[in-house]
Amino acid sequence: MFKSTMPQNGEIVHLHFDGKAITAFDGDNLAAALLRAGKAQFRTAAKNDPRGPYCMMGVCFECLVEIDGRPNQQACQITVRDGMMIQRQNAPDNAGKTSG
Amino acid sequence: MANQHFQIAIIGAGPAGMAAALTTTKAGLETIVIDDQKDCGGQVYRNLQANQKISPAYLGQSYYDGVNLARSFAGCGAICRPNCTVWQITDAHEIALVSRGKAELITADYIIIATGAIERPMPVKGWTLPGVMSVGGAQTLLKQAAIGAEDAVFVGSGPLLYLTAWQYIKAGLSVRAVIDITGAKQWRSAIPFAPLALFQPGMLAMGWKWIGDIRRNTEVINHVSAVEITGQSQAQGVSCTLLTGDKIEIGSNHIFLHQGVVPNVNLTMATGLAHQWDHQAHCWRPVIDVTGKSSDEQIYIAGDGGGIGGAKAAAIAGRLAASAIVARCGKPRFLAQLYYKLRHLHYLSIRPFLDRLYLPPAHFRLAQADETIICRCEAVSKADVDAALDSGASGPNQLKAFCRAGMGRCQGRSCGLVVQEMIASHTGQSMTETGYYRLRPPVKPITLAELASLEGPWPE
Repeated sequence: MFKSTMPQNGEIVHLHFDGKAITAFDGDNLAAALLRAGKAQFRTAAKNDPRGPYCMMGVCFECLVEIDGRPNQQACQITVRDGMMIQRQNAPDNAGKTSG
Repeated sequence: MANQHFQIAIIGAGPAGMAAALTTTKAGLETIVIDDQKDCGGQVYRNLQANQKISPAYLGQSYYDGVNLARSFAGCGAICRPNCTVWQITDAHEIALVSRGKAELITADYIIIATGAIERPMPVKGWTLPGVMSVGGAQTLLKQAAIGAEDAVFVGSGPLLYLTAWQYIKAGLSVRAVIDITGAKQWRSAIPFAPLALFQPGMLAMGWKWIGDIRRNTEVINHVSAVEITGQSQAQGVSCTLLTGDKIEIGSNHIFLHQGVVPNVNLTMATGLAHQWDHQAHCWRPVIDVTGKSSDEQIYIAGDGGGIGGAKAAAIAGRLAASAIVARCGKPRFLAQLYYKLRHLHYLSIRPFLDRLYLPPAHFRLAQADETIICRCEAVSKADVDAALDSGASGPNQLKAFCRAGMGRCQGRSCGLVVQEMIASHTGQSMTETGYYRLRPPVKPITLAELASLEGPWPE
């Protein structure tokens, strides 16, 4: 579990992650806000492989989530907005299976 | 609508990009600085302006060394474009970028690419599980959001690992263990270069202090031959095999991996610039001259993107590239250039030692267990890659077609070096002969809607 290493203050904003309410601070990085709220898995990759943030600098694409209906958003590159609706992004069941 | 034109376009606002902008703007050249983050500083000085106000001591002096540079940059007069992703540089030196869902083209007489480094992939079994992050990622969370994990395990080697573990300890977080993969062989090959490294006594002393503080505050495990991360849907711990054959199991939900950094070559390769395999640092780097000029006369590369040197070397490399361009614009800077060249060499004097000491052993650069994921994006395992090699895949691009490794969104950033070395060790060819994925624009995925939003002429 991630915890704060400094006393944190700032305006509280409200987010939803898979329908559950989460609070964050105004200006928060989205991936960081979700990790602070105890969320480790952000999506599944091909073959139903669970994934969460890895590089935190936009390189690895492991933190992809759906935000307000738009898929493939890199949570580590996004600043939170009040009312954001975030969904875990799951790969289609047949993704990554080679044919034949 | 005509494209916006600038004399100088700098891509990346880390130490190299910021320092380059100071020199070009001082010479009166119209300069634009483009970066994909919301604030300047790059990864090394990430969130510096905000942290400076509260100054948490646990981030350490090497971080706050960037304060003056960031302050000068803020007042230098360069046009700053944060939150912009560059996805292509054309032969006509058009820079295609996307910002807030909208694509645009800008043109420039000279381009300085200062896109820095990425972490070398560390493919151990279980490294894709939620809870496993790169050490760089863990450090970013500390700088950007002031959060850290209790009872984490750090695995790997290299200055960034020791710095981050040290920062964790100073921040009052308990570190469960540091598993150090540096081997005796690395020490033997590095020691002859230790005298040269003495030209950087400050850096050596800093590293010594980090390692000493880590040893006093947590368990350090050495002489490691293999590491696996355990867990089904989330990391549960690390299983570590020692050279003696003994196994150590450590429970933790937070495992941070790191085995060095390498130049981020995706943009420079996709731009068609010449690259070479760097035998000492075991990575690709663009071919550049002493001022950073690439195989394209109008494009310079400064900082870690041209070869790993660290933040201070990067800032000097930015100055050097910028002063070379200023000279080509008719304002020779002989003395300044000489001074920057000497300082750059001075900063790089520690690299032959560090590169050898922290080159990860081959069995950590390559995956060991068959189930280990190599290509994270497409969930391609070591067994899948081996099967493709057995079926006759002869190079990285053919291997893509055989098993999809490298076909995903990250465009090889997380698997390229591993796949290349797996092929080389299978075929017996050198890394240069084996080559790398052929990278093409867009360097970062963009949507069709973003592409369609481009006004005016299309890229040439």
